[in-house]
Amino acid sequence: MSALIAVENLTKRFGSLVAVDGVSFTIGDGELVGFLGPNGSGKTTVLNMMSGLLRPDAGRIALDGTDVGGMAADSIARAGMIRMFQLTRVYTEMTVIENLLTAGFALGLGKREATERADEVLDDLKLLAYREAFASDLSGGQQKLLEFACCFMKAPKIALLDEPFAAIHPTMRQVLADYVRRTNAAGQAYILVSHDMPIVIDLCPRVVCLAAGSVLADGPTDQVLREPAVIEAYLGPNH
Amino acid sequence: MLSSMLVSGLITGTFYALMALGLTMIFGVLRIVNFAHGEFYMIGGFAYVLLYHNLGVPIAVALPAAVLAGGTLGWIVEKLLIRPIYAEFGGRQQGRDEYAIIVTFALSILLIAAMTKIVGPWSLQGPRLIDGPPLLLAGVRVSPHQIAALGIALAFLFGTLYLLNYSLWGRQIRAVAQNRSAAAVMGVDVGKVSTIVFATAGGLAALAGALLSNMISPSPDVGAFPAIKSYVIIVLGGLGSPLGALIGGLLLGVIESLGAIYISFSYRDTYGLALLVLVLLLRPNGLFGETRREV
Amino acid sequence: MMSRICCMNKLAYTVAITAAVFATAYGAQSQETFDVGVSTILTPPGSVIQGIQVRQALELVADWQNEQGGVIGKKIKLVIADDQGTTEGGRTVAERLITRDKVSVITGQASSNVVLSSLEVAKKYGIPVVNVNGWASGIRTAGIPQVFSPGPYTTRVITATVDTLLALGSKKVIGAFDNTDAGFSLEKEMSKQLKERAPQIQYRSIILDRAAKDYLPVVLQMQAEKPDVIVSELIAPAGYILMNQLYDQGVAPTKDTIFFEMGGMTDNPDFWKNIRGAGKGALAFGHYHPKFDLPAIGVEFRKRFVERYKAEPGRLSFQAADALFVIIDAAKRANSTEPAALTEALANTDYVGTRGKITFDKTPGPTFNQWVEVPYAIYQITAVDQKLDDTTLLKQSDGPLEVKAIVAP
Repeated sequence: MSALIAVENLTKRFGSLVAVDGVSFTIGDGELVGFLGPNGSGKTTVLNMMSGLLRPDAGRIALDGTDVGGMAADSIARAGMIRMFQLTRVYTEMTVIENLLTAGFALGLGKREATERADEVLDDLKLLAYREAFASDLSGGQQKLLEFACCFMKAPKIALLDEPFAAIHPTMRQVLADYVRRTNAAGQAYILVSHDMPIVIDLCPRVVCLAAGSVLADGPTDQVLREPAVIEAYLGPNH
Repeated sequence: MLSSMLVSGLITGTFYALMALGLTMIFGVLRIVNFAHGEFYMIGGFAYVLLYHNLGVPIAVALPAAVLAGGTLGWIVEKLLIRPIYAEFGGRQQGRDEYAIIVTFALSILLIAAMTKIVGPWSLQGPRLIDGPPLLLAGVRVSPHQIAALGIALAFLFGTLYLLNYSLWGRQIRAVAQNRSAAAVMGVDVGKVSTIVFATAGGLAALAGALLSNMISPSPDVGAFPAIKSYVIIVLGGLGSPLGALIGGLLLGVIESLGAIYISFSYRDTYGLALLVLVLLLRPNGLFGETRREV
Repeated sequence: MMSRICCMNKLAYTVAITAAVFATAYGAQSQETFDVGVSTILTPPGSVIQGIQVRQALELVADWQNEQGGVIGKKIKLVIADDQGTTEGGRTVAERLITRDKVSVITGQASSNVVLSSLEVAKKYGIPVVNVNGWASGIRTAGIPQVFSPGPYTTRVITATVDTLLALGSKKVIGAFDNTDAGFSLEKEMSKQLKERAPQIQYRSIILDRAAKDYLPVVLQMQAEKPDVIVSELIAPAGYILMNQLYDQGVAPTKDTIFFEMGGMTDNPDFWKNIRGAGKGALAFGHYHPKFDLPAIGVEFRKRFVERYKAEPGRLSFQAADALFVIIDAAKRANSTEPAALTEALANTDYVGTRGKITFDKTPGPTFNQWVEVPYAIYQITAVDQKLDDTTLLKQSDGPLEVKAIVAP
């Protein structure tokens, strides 16, 4: 398996706090990797650096062999690494279809292509009924689905999902999970950050566990979850 | 008298709106106030007048050339001076506003000084678009030139609003205005959007300068007056709101016109400010300002 | 060790250069020049076109005088500073010219507020000021012995204007003034004189912001009132906008309404670059007209001006030339360029300038230290792009107004 993503020795400091401390991992084509770790373990910071929102203090991030550490966020997105936020960021002053067309155009699709693709994704995510509604009129979960849909207007090389299942209705969670599973089966690579352990166990064959800015464990999900260090990091030393 | 004041106010307001639209777009996308906005107006006015008078370029060419001059200037300014604000990773947050203020303010002084050096400090009246006897519109004599200028201004105003709302690039601009980092992460080329916005704003201001050059002869310092009006308008209409710029512009034109007659001409410039204070008391985000913003 | 030597060398160079700079500066000062401070409008918000005309004339006269060996063996050196036509500008420029540049005398001021703000500075340091174009009465009534005015002044301008209104037989007059010291002074004097001398004339005045770019609301109001005469004191560029809007709305000049330009901007070099049809038929107030009988020095000044600048001098250039000529004359008579001696000599001026014999009145009040008989002209512009030569001269100083020569536009 060739490395789609190769992160080496990634480091980020905020003042005296070392938020991410020499993190390294690789992700192969079509892999679905879960990111675990308690709050403050550096998951979101790693994602922020990967998606170009933060400049790493040290280390290298390679996407398909190209170093993207230092590139602007939009260039990274167009290069095929796309990011979905923990807090939803859809354009509330636009309709659902406008949101999708904007994303599609940004990723280089023409108008017709983008419209066709938008309808396809909306159908997949059961949002077609809301096509012309304003994003501000959608529920929180629907907005999350919409943002998710935007990320898939043009299939990325890898999608970085930050807590996609948090605070959404169970039926929508199912829709989302099905979509991830189905596309992953077709070769779509993912990094999935989630606290929802059952979903991670269900979806991800492999997990990377972070604690205090470092990689604590990296391997097949069942193995990692059995490691005492991981249990301790998650549940506290006295457990 | 009332109807003629309304007509006169709406005409003035249309040109105010043309200036303010670009300024509010820049604010929307870049979160900065361009203090050199009046100088785009001045450059447009001079480009039009000088091309016509000194080089004998026909009006039909001089007018688009003036718009192009303003657009090109905006494009260059964005690439050279504004880019450092956001070029690196979501932008330098510290000192960002101060940087923008100083850079655009210095640019304004530079452009005025450069123009004074090149063409001298005097004012030069621009040619009319069309000649002909004036028409009477609610007691106001409106020359065919003014009607043509008004028509072009309205076409550009509504054209820009339409493109912002319905074109692909327009949506990109709105996306960046609503949430810059989200747009960037979605792959929207925020650099290109910023450049387009600056060039468009420059072009619109230059167009206003050229269209008004017959009524207000351009001189190097002519930009100060429309720029100040634009600052009032964009706060009045809601920072970053294109519709707010349009409505705010027309409103300011009418209020000033009515106040000048029914209260006193001497305090004309204060009526807009009084209205602004009133609006801000009732609606702190301006008439069409957003009340919330996603994080 | 090497770097130490290098440092020492650098230090030595710095000292040497500094010494050289000081020596040059000191040398220039001890070379005996007659330093004349010029405070005038080079950038807005003041009327830059006025400042340019003043500066051109002063530079011409200084060079001309230096060709002839300068004044009492010293070359005239103009120290030019930009007062922007503002009160603050006037004060700081005067202060700087006196304390930093050590000038013996200041001239060039083209607007009333600048002159007014420099009054106290002149008094404090005892430096004479010969202003070029300060119209406001306050300049004279302040009674500062160092301040001299060879240019136009409010009472004379208004007397001439009211004379004109009376000769025209006008019944309804509107006066437009700008919100400057000159504007306020003129507005006050005009209301006063009309009340005393012509109570039959229905009169209303309006103060306009000189920074405004659109006067349409007032123009429409004037249209509704249908006056016989609209008198405007607004100077360029505000005056241009008002004139154009009055013309565009068909208010003036028309056969029913005379437009009388009192501010003296019709001989500005950029007048016809900004005014088209609005100029035709307008009556104008000026302080120079080519049809004046000029003294020899005035003829020579005009000739040299045209040769050097390829344009006819306007009234402001004549006013500025006279200001500097009066200073030169005073220095010669005093045989000194010391401020106190200059002030004393200036007070006793009796000199034939470019437009006539200049003396300064000693009576306290609105003509103190003023050239009372400063000439003026009222003329009519009868065609677009008309040269000053070809305008119809209607009245020369205190002569009668040739009402019959006026043609309706």
